[in-house]
Amino acid sequence: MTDKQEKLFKAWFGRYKNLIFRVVNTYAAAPEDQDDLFQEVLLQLWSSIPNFKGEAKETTWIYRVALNTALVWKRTQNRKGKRFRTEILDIQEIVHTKDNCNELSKNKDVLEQVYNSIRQLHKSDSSIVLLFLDGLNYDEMADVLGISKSNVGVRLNRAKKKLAQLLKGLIDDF
Amino acid sequence: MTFDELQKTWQSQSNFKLKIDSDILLREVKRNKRNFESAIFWRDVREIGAGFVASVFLFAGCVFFWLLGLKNFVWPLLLLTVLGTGVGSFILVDRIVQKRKCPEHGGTLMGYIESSLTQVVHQIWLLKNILWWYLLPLGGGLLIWFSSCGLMVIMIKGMKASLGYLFFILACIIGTILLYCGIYWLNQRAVRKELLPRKKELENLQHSLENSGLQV
Repeated sequence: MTDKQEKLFKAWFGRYKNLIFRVVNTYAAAPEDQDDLFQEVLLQLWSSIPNFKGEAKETTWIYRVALNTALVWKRTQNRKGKRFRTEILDIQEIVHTKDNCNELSKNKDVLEQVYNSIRQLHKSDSSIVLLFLDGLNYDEMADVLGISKSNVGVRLNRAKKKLAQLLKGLIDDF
Repeated sequence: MTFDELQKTWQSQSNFKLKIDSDILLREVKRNKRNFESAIFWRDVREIGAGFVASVFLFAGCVFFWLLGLKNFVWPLLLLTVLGTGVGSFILVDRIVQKRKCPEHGGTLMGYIESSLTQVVHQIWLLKNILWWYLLPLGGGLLIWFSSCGLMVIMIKGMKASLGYLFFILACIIGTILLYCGIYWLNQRAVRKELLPRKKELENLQHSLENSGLQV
């Protein structure tokens, strides 16, 4: 089991680390909190592998683990008791070419604004907005959240309205 | 900007690269998991094991007094042993049952919140009722033991000669009562400061997902 578990963990991590980071970034703002939550999600992901029977899609499973962990996560009080000995979360931007540099810099500002606004939403709203922005359809969202499709629609609409209010000037959909 | 455009911008975030060595990461995750399991194991050993070891010692004390012919000391000590074993068994069974109900991280968000809530409610119940399942049996057993020791000393030595012993026993009784009051206060504080806010937070999350018609 351990070999299989190791292989799957590495494969998942390789494929979905950006997904995990987006969840982490949504629920934790300070770098040390992000590091703490990131570690917690990875630990829970590792522990969850024996229960993964392939009934749910891989992405659904990873969203569930990451969101479940993030929703109940509490900031570690004592940073001296850091769990990992090495700094594992080293986020770097890919070096951009001069042509698209301006656009990417603008996107970065927009994303920062969006993250800040999502963090101000109720935790359940932020999870649904996150899934929407990541491009999940209603079925997939319902699968991750464990609520009906119609409920997803209502909740998403409401969360989008709240987000649009927070992002006044940037979003003109509502 | 429309939400569709925002969605596209959001998904362009893959331009951020997380530079992590997966081997180091795996090693750290495994080490972390081992540390966590070891911490839980030793916590259980401390809390449950210590109770059972104490019961064994108390039982040995019963045998010792029995062999010395001090049979009046035996029954209160035996009562304390039984009560101690009972409390230890209760904690052990509760841990096993709760371990099975542990929320599964791969479950749906709703399911996870529900089982987390069930766990918090159970924790609140345990701490609110700590008087009945922990403090009263053990404290009562200890008080009966101290009182019977006092009576035995008076019966053997007489009232005047045993005043020193009686003061010592009284100090033990007062110390036990103060200690148990402290334990009770700490547990009720944990309920108020940590568990009730946590319960409220989980209930809010649950309601906000459940009731599409309600604003939370």
